[in-house]
Amino acid sequence: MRQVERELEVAKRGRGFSLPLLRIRPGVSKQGVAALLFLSPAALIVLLFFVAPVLLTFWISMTNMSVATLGRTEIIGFSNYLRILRSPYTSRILQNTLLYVSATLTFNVGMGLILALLTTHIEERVGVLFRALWLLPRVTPSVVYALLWTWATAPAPFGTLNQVLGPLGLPSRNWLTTQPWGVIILANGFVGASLGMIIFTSAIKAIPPDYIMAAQVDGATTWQIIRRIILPLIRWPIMFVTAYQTLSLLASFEYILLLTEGGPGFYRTEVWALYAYHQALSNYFGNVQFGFGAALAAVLVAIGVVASVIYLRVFRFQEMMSEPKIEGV
Amino acid sequence: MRVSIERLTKRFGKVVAVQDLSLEIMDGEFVALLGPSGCGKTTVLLTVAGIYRPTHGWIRFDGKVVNDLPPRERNIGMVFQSYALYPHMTVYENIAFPLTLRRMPRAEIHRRVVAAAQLLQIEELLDRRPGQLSGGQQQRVALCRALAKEPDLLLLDEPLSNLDARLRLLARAEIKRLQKELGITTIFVTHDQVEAMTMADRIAVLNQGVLQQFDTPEALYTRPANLFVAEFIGSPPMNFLEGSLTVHGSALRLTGPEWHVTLPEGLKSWAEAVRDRDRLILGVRPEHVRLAPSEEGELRAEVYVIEPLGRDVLVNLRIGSLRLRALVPPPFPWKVGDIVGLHFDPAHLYLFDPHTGVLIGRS
Repeated sequence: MRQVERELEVAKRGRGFSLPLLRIRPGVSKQGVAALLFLSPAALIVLLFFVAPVLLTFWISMTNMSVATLGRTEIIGFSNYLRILRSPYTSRILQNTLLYVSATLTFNVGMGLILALLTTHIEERVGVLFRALWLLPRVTPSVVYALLWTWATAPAPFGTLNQVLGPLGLPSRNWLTTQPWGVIILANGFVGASLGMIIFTSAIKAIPPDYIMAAQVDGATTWQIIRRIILPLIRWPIMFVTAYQTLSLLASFEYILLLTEGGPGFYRTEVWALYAYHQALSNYFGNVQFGFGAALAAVLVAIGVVASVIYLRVFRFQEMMSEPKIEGV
Repeated sequence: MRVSIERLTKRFGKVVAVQDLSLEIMDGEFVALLGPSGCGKTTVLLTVAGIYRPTHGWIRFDGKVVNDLPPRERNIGMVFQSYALYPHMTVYENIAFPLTLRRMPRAEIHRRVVAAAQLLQIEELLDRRPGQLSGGQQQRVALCRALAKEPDLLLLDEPLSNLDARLRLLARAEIKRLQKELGITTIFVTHDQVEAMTMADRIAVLNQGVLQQFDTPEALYTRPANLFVAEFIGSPPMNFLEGSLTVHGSALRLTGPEWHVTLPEGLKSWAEAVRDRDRLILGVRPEHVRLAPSEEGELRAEVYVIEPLGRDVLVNLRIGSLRLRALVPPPFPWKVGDIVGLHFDPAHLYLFDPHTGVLIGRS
């Protein structure tokens, strides 16, 4: 309040103008305009592609919009949300989502960490090659990649996996039907682990070599150096990748769609994002329900926001942004 | 512990970091590895620590070859130039780290950490993190961590270079005293000749991976083996006058483009032995250059720059293209541009071979 009064005082004396809310002062205003100009492209993108779709989704979720009601859409309040609550499938899909996110997350972060540690502890050239190989799935188009998995896991006598396992005396099976989750988690994880691998590798390489040498002289074995020096020093990148992957896994469904389409059987591998997609855009006989699908998507956004807030709190992201995490002295 | 470095060569790819180095370090001795940056001194230290493996040669601890022994089995305490304090651990945890790795009982660890902290007067810092410490405090903690494990050998890699001038002076004396008190064999890497001279029992001067001289500070100062050591040891560095030998009656003269110096008796015999050389280099330390009124000196020079140092005055002199430095007691009666006379103290002159750089003789 005192600040506003002072500015009003300044304004009265005619040495500048001031709006209590914007607090534009002479001298600062130019900077403010420049800041706005620099921010505007990013702000525009955020508004147009993030905020607006969320608002639209929320608005659609309050209607009964569907193929059947197109043209005479009515606002029906929270009915779609009540339907989610009452649906007998909700708990199943929630469980699937939980399994999918937690298992894939564990694989992604753990495998990323293992890859980063392995490739930084072997000869540099071999490490680079190894990491480049692991990036292949990421640069392969999703459909091609999913197709490769379908072929690899196809039932005998096809399927690479069965052809390898057969001569070893192991029973061949239709992997996608018998182990749908295993295939989905691995297919996702082989792509997902490379993000952690890249970030952890650069974090490990950013650790001043003196720390490692000091630990060696102090008597640590390689494993002790990893556990007591490297892992604590790359704690923040690990947390970042965990948070980032949780959110992206919550919203991702393309490999499940391409591999099992939520099956086999009834919603066996249907996750929340896929369920929303199915309801809103790809339901049986074209019976797509935009309103209901939008409500499902809105719930996913809410879960994402809650998860973000929890991560922000638990991992103290503010601290992470404010000071360098790997300090050289 | 006695440390022997025998014919050590270390290559990184095609780069030879250390070449055919042999040093014998006695039990309890404080040895400095001195040289300009890139001379291979840190490589020697890291090889002794076991972080690098020798390409050729042997490292022996008390006579036993340790080439294949990993660092953790060498019982070495090391202080890095960056101090390398683990940022995610408190000072206590940093000091205790090497002890916990040995699975020492908790009470014993505590006793050792506290004792070492008392020795270095850092008890009140034990709960802090490295990021909250000043440079001087970090240096003490690093030294404390190295000493708490009661090592057989202490390796110090430029431990003073990150301190300000005043602290460096304090730490210098303290480390020297501590080393003598504890009697730990110590190898100290530095590029600062003053540090090496003041602290070490013996100094190994390295240049481009090759040992130049390994001797006591006094010997390096009074009997430098070659031009490199002569220039590197002593501050300000030795003056060099390159000229040819000419005979004037019974006297031998070294003659340059705009000057000539008659060689004193002490140098004459040395110079006569190498009469066939066309050129020789005369070395004289700034503290052995005397100034006189212009008509009295053997040489005449122009006063170029005057740098008062308090206790002495450092005078930069010019004879044509030749530059000399003289360290003289104040007050300094001349001003810039004046012509003064010069004498060289005949008891402190050196002759070097300009081709090999090797010392031919000294008066």
